[in-house]
Amino acid sequence: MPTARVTANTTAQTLFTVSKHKKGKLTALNVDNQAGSNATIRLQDIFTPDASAKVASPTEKTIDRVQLTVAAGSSVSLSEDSLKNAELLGTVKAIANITDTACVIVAVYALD
Amino acid sequence: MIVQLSPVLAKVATYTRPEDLLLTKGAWVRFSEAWPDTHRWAKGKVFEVQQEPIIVPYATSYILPGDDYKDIDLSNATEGLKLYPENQAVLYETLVGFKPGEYLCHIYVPKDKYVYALGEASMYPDVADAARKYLGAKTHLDSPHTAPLLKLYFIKDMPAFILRLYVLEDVDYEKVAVTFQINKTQLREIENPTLEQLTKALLLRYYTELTGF
Repeated sequence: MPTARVTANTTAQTLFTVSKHKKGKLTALNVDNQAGSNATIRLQDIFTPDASAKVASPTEKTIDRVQLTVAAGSSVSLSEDSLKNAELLGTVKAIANITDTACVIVAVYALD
Repeated sequence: MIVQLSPVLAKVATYTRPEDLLLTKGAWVRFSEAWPDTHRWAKGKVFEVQQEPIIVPYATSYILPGDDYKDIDLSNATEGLKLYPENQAVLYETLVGFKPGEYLCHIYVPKDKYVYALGEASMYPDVADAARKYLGAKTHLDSPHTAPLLKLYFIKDMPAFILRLYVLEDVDYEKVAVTFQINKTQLREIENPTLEQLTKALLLRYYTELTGF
């Protein structure tokens, strides 16, 4: 399965983009926070919907699919079971409350 | 014009030949007398398929909000997906499959003429109605994209098939993905069909014959 790795940043960092006719699912999410402070990570799903009956000119949407806080000096792994309900439709980015290369985010994902 | 095989075919192991599911060389098709004179080349006639299947896969997808819908025109109209043939004596047999998701599909031909209504006057599909949004609606279980069971038949300039893709309420956004396997067939008219050819040919009805009962 493909993986994507970024480090914590207060500017959203792209993990991967879901193919046009597919949906994405996270099968694991690992955050290793060796920074000096706690890190709160949000995984955002960013896409522009298609025009529909009710919305003729849709605009870009950013939806938080996952959020977790990892204490300084510790790591957290979320399993597929806890992530299975988070369907991803567009570009998936990670955004944090800190910028620190010592806090590493690894997403394992599947497209179907 | 429209055929849906039993979903059980997607779930059980069966001995199935390709020609049982797709039109192949030597297969017979018959157009009913209800086709209008604008399709005179086909109206009431029997044809034989000229070649083995030439299958063209295609797909389309849309991200739509919950409790909202989008109409997809499959014809060659300007805003359509352009899945129809451009020549007479050509029939496109199209398998339509749906990827899993929280959505329904209503089928119209032409626009605003629903196929799957019942006889009582109020029993027509309506995505704005809490109950009737499910009336006649197809889901990915009816025609999974891995084993599509819904077939549509297209000829040049026939009325447009419309797929109304409706995302269920209580969903923020859904990606609706529809797959097509288009079996391109060339037809040769059988000028004096035998009784066997008349009775065994796949009957393609005009849309006016699909409703009203």
